[in-house]
Amino acid sequence: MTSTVIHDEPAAPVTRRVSRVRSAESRFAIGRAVSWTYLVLFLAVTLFPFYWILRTALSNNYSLIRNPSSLLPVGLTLGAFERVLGLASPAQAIAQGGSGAEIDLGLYLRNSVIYASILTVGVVFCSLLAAYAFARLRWRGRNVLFSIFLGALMIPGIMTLLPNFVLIHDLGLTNTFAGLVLPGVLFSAFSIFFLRQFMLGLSSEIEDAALIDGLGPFMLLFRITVPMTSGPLITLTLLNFINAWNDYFWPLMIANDPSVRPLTVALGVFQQASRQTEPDFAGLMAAALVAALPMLALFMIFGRRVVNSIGFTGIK
Amino acid sequence: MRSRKFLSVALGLTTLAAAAACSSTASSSQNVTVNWWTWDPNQAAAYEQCIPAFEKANPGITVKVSQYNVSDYFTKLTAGFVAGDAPDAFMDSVTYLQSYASQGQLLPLDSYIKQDNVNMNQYSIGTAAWKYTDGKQYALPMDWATAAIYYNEADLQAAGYTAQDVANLTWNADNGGTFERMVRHLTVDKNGVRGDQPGFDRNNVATYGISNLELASDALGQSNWGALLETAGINIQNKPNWPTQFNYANPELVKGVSRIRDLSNNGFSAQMNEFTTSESEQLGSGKAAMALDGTWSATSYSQLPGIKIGTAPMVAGPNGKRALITNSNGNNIWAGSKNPGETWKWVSYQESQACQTKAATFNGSFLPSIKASTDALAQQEQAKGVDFSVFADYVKNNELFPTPDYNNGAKITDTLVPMIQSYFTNKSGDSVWTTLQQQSKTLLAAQQ
Repeated sequence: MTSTVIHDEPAAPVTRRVSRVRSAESRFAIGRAVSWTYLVLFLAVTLFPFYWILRTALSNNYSLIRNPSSLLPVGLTLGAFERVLGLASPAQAIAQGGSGAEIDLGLYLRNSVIYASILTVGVVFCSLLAAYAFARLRWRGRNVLFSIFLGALMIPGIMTLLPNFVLIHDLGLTNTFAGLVLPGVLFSAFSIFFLRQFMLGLSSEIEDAALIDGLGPFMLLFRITVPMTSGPLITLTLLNFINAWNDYFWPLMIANDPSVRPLTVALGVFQQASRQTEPDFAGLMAAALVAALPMLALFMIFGRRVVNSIGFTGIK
Repeated sequence: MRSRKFLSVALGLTTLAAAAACSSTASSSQNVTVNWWTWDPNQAAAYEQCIPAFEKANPGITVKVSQYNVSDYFTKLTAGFVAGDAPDAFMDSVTYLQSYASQGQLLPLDSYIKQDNVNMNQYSIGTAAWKYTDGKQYALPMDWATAAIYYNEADLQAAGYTAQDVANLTWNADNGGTFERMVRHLTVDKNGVRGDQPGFDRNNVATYGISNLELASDALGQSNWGALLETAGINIQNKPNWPTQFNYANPELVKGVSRIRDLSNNGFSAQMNEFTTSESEQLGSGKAAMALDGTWSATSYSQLPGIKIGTAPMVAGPNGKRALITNSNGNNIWAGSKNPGETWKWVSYQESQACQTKAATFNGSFLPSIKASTDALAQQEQAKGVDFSVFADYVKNNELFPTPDYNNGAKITDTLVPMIQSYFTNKSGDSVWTTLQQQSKTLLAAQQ
């Protein structure tokens, strides 16, 4: 009896809705118009800040002061980009309202690539091993240890900042890439959790077959599980790379030396000098744009993978 | 003193060893790198101009200048103290003198100053501000900055004023003086009615008479509201240096700040939360006819396209005299520096007339503490058409007084500034100043 009620109820509204749509085309058009308007509005709100970055980057700082709310670039110039790319002389930079400070974009870009790559490869590899152990191997205390690992998700990064900093300093690793990546490269609670959730869902039949064929646990991981997990692995790699690329505070603390300083920290020269004076807005925006370009490209190519990550785990 | 002796002996020994053995360790001790930090990208670029001459005169010493923006600077500095890798020397604000000196992070410079016979009188301002309560000198003054009036020449002319009129403005807490009268007259609403004419619509103002005077990033309102009070002889600090209380509850002060708040409430200056942008945008975009802004903005005002901006000295008090609170940053040596001798050489060279003139004239980003260098900068800018004579006159007429040193600088800013902002945004009444005074007493007393 109960089952028929449950079965009946959802069916009725569907038929009603379908008939209503068929009978009133105008209402259908209104619905479409509303959803399109919503989409366009949402797009505009999302894209406007990017436009504003571009508009400011193409402006002259002094002209910006004259007309701060103009929708178009004021005093259209590529000067800010020249400053960022190190093509402008100090005298030119000062004439456009920059500081005359030079920035070696190539060097900082290289540093960012090295830092983000090492960190990403390390984190993904270590997380893969840990997630495999938590998801596919059976051993005593596994679940207890996993809960402790999960607890690490709840510790705010700022809590570990000072101990990490003192440790890295005592190890003599400040101003090195090793010091930059070490605290993050071995352990990432989120990445382990992310991969484990996916691996839990893999069927054990293939593994069992491989076991019978005589594969050891490592071969099992790399020959069987990794190929089956390639989707989430790529997503995780992307997420970690973007995060590492955007990292600011830790590199700021560790990398005093320009030879290891990543782009995010180096862009500080365009920031506010003191609370009263103004930043080199045009330079700052141009630099931010240049720094974001590689990420934008990654996102355009692999965007679907990043979006998928939400589908994989249900969390952002 | 003893450690220095030890160091020079050690240095001598390693040099000897180097000469004898030409070993690799010797080259590292011969080539000393002095790390110097600043938060100001313009000053970083400016002081880099001094490096070639310094390195030529001091072979074996390499100077490295790093810049971090102001919101990260002091965090990074503190982390450096903890971890032991702070820079050898760094630009510092007097706000932090008490905490850093009391923690033993700063090297007293007295013996170096004596040894090199540095003439401290060459610094027109700032020497006293960098003396701690133990009587020791912890920094050589680098620069100075105070307030000035900038104005749109066309607006002034249209209102029938001359440059002479702006230069002779006075202000008092009772009726606002000639300054307030001029501000009212310069204000024009959307219908072209001036602020002192009948029918003025304060809710639809086209051009304010003066930029917002309320937005302050420190408890003394140094570059805006506080500057007006101080020049009128209403002192906030109860003592020139190391005050034990800020006299916020002084009835004269409350009268003064309420006049300033009325200016914006009546539409003669922008409301504090109306613009997110600074004074230069308010003046540059034509939203304000005058701006009370820092000396540091003079160069950028002169560069604005299509608008003529004039510079006038800060408003005077009722007796026609000016008293301008002046911030002076200092050059500190870190007590933990491994090469204090070499660092001192760089720091003392930076604050010599040769380097200050070179750095300041490079991009005009600061007013050097040495009078002769300020004069050189003023001359250079004058040739470019920027009037720096106003600033040179401040020094000549002895109108500057230093920002007081006080305890718990950072904490005082964090606690008091939001309360002051709540007053200026009409969220609290006059009584907040009594609370502020009590708070200041507690915070100024405790050394934390």
